[in-house]
Amino acid sequence: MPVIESEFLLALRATDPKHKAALDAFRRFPDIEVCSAAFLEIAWLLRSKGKRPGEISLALSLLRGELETQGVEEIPLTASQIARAHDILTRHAMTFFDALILANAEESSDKRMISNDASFDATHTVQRVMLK
Amino acid sequence: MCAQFMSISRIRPRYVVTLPRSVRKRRKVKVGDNLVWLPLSENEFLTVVLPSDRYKVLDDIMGDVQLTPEAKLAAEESYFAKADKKVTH
Repeated sequence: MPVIESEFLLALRATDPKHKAALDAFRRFPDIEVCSAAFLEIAWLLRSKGKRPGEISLALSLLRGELETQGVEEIPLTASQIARAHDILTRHAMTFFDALILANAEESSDKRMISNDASFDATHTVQRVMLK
Repeated sequence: MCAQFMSISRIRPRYVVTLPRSVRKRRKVKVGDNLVWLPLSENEFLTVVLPSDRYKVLDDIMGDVQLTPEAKLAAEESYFAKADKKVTH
């Protein structure tokens, strides 16, 4: 079960350059999982753009609804993953949310991640599948 | 919240529900539109009607969001700066 992160969630926007690739991925991988931490990152990306809580709630609900419709399972964020994220941050240069997403993805069943972001290669604990 | 009218729908087999005529007249909903269900409590939902192209709606809300290292850092700084502050209305 490959996992998806924030890049994939943003690719669900109609005019995103990777939109078609994201929809294709739903067909290519029938058993995708999503990192809960990615929703947290999207929420804060939206907040940093000055979006209102109502808009953020709607965006996250739409994303969650879309993934649920596609049969995507969510990997819940746990306390041990938050601790692991900080462990990653002590050894590797990456953002807090990326570390959180990586710790979250390490809990996936086959430890593959659909992402074009090379920063997730830092720990060599997750194998990346390109979103293309 | 506007509660000037009330309509009841029965949940039929396979959880099919018909939107009451009064609701359809009040808001020009079309076949193919999306309903987003936001759970409020065990038996309460807020239902939002969205046009059929839900990906376009995501575009409208998230169109200016970038996933660059700079944007990620800005989001992170915003997170730590605002995490303990209440949202003001």
